[in-house]
Parts: sequence; structure tokens; C-alpha cells
Amino acid sequence: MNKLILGRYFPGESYLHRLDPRLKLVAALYFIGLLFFVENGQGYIWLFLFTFLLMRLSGVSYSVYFKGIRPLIWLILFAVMLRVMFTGGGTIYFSLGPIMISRFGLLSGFYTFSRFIMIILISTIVTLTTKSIDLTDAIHALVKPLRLMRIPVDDFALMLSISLRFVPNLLDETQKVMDAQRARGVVFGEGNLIEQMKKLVPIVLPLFVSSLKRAEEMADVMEVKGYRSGVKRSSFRQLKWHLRDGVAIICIIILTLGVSFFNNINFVLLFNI
Amino acid sequence: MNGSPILSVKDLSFRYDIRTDNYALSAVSFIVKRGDWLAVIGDNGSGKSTLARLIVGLVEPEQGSIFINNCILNEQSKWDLRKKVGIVFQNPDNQFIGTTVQDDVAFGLENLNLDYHEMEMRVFQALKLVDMYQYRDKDPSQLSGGQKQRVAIAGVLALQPDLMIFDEAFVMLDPKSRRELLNVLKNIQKKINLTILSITHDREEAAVADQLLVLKAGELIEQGTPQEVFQKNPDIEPPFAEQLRQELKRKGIEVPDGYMTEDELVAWICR
Ligand SMILES: Nc1ncnc2c1ncn2[C@@H]1O[C@H](COP(=O)(O)OP(=O)(O)OP(=O)(O)O)[C@@H](O)[C@H]1O
Ligand SMILES: [Mg+2]
Repeated sequence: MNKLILGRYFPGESYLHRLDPRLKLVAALYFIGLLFFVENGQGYIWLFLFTFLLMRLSGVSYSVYFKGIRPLIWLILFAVMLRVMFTGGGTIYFSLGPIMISRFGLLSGFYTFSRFIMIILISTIVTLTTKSIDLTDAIHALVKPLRLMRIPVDDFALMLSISLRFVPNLLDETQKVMDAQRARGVVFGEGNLIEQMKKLVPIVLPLFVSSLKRAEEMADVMEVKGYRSGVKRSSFRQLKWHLRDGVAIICIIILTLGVSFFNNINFVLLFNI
Repeated sequence: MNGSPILSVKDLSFRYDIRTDNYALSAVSFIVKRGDWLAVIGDNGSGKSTLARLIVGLVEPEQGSIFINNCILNEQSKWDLRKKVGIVFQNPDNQFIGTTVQDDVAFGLENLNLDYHEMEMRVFQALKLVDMYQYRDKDPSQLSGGQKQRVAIAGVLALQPDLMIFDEAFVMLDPKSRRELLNVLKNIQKKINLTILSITHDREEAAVADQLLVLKAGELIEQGTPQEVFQKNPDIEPPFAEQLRQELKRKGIEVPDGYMTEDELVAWICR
């Protein structure tokens, strides 16, 4: 029913599944950053190889990833077309007013295309192999320094994890309410837009009410179990650094060296500017 | 220490809406000795859950006072007193805070700021007691109502409080595991001098208590050992859901055997 692959988790035991979520998150961001430094075909092929290797390692079939790209493909093609048409330079194959198709245009179109695809693929790899609660933990760990600025990081992290935990409940409840309405003769997915919107009201209202009640009861439970905002609490969920995480870092270094080799620029210099 | 009251409730009155005269509880007084098992019974809406909410400080009494360990319960003392009191609520769905079974059991322990090894041990023990250890990595959507109830019970056991309150916390368990769990609790209770306040519709469960309170429309109408209470009131009615279930059965409709909560019955009818 739900076509959106990005943001879903596929249970598994692969190497990627077992990596530290903090590492996965940082590495994905790093990889995306890296994409913007690459300005040659070989570099992209190198990155593509790496991406495919990761997809392979994740133990999820390639078709799942391509399903993830499909809903976004028109957006990507549109962006690529703009790049191609408005970039000049090199041999010009075709031109009409400001629009032209040039060698440079085609190249930068290819780069844009590769970047988009790889950004989607890498984010999909991370979300497919990481439970949302682990991602929450990772985000929590990474933004912890913000505590110094008196931002209630821990409360936000708990909020996020509780919301994530309630998504299936909400879906269940929606289904129940819809069934109840159906039993009373409501037909969904018929009529014009306004009629359909009207039918949503008796679904949204009960959901709203039950969510509020739920939230209230949960707040009671949390209070009775001694949860107080701003009071120091320990954490049962522990993120541990393993050997495999070190191996992953070495892989990322190799990847970076490869990119800089193909780019003929010294990354160390670049970062020191 | 044995024999001194762990909980004493004096002249307690409460209403949810002060504009009306509907008292959810009016002038209730009783004393619970340390190490006792107290059962509270009463019809739907008789104020049992309200009493539980008052004792853990979720709502404030309009009149009267509550003493836990000889310390009065109020805005200032409630956080400290709650460390000694654990409660399992009626609805197991809305008291699942953690993402997985073991996270949920650990939630209260995290709030006590315990170190990891202590938490690990307590979570393990508590889950073993309710026979849910093999489910420790499951999330709530993968559990049945009774299993969620067990997790909630484990969450309170792990806290190792002096006083445990169960608000119809066993209704979703099958009869066999209910009996087992009650036995486990009885044993722990004796071993560590734990006090239990259990709200129930189950006659069997009420019968094993040391003390029995009967609430009716917010008033404490009977108090004593189970034998005394049952002898004096042979007509204590079964709860509404049970009556409805029996009525349905009499009409020839095939209803599942055993006690069901109102929610369960509703779920069963809507099925
Ligand atoms: N949040 C609330 N707001 C207003 N009135 C409430 C609220 N909760 C309970 N009441 C009312 O207070 C009275 C006592 O309710 P309570 O939940 O304590 O009953 P109970 O004995 O636990 O019943 P049950 O056996 O159904 O659990 C009822 O008349 C109920 O309508
Ligand atoms: Mg109740």
C-alpha cells in the first residue's frame, strides 16, 4: 500500500544492520558532502561502485532500492534537464536562444543525476538498515552538546521516540475508525474532492480525541514512574563501539582517498583553507 | 517495622468536576499494614481507579489526606514517595513507553538514574518473573493485550517498590498464568514484606487478600477480611461486563469464557 521506501526499516542481521547508528548517520552525511566535491566521471563511477557494494551488503534486494527512487524520478529528471539546458561550454551540439545542449551541459547533467540518485540510495541504505529508535539514539548522541545551550535535547529525543512508537497504533486506530464508519454505510474514495474531505472529518475527530486521551494516560504513567524533565537520568539503551565500526571508518578513508585521487586535489589542503 | 501502617488514608474526598455534586470518592478512610495484601472491589464507576490515582499523587484530594510511610503526600513529597510506590494501570496499551519490551521495563529504572549493570539485572529478573524474557526485543505492536499487561507488571516489579498498586492489571491474563503470577507475587510479598493494593473484579483474587474494601458510588461500604465481607454481603454483584457476558450467553450467543474487561468485550463485539 505504502510506496515510500525511504524511511522504512527492513529487519535483518547484515554487517550494515549491526553498525553503530551514530557512525551510519555521520558517514551518510559525510558521503553526501563528498558528492559535491567530485567533478569527474571516474570519481562518480568510484562512488557508484561503493554505493552498490553497500546495497549488496545491506542484504536488501536491489529492486527495493529502485522502488525507492521511482517516486522521485521525474523531479530528478527535471533538475537534470535544467542543468543540461542552461550550462554552456565545450562543444555545442544544439542551441536555441538561451537553451543549448553542450558537452559541459551534458556532463554536469550527468553529475547532477548521479548526485541525486546517490543521495537517495545512501539515505535509503541507512534507513533500511537502522531501526528508527536507533536513529533517534544516534541523533540524540550527536546533538547532546546542545545541552550546554540549555536546549532540552533529552526531552526532544524521548518525544521523538514515543512518537515513532505510536505510529503503528495510530495506523491501527485509523483502520478501526474507518471500518466503523464503513459499517455505518460510508464509502471512502468516492465522490468529488469536497465530498471526500467531508468524509475525513468523522475519521480525524475520533482519532484526535483518542490520541489526546492516550497522551494524557501516557503522561500519567511517565510521571508515576518518576520521569521529570530536566532531571538527570541514566540510559538503558547503550551505543557501543565495535571493531566492525573501526573497519567501516577505514573503508570511508579509502573511499575518500579514491575520490581525491580521481579529483587530483588534495583534500587535506581543501579542508585547511 | 512489621505491622506499622504503610498507607493510611483519612477522610478522603474527591470530585472531578467541582461544579457538580458528583463525588468520585467521599470520606474514605482506611489503613494498610506493611506486608498486607489489600483488595478493592466495587462496581464500574465506584471510584476504584480514582482512589489509585489519588494514592500515587496524580490528582489531589479535595479533602482528607494520604500518608505513605507516615509521610504526608503532597506536591513536595510526591516525587520522593513515588519511588516507593509502583502502579500498573488498567489499559496496557497506553502505559507502554519504551520502544521494546526491555526498554519499557527499564524506563522507570532510567528515571532513578541507576547504572547500566543494575538495570540489566533488574530487567532480566522482572521479565523472568512475568515469563516475558524471550520477548525482550519485541515492540508493543507485536504483543497481545495480556503480554503487554505482563510487561507493565514487570516494569513495576523492576522498581522494587514498598507498595504496589494493580488496577485490574491481571484481567487480560489467561486463568492459568494469572494464578501463577498471583502466586509469584504472594511469594515475593512474603519474602520482602511488600504491600499490595489490588483493584479487581475477580472474586478469586479478592478472596486471597488479607483485607478487602468494597466501594460503592464513591463510598467505602464494607471493610474487613474477605470471609467477613462476603458473608455479610452475599449479593455483591458481578461487574457490568460480566453481567452482559452472561446475559449474552443466556441468549444463546457464543461468547468466550472467562472474565472480560469492558474494553475487551467492546473489542469482541466490534470484531
Ligand atoms: N477523568 C475523569 N473526568 C471526569 N470524571 C471522571 C474521570 N474519571 C472518572 N470519572 C468519574 O469518576 C467516577 C469514578 O470513576 P473510576 O474510574 O474511579 O471508577 P472505577 O471504579 O475505576 O470503575 P471501573 O471498574 O470501570 O474501572 C465515575 O463516575 C466516572 O464517571
Ligand atoms: Mg477503574
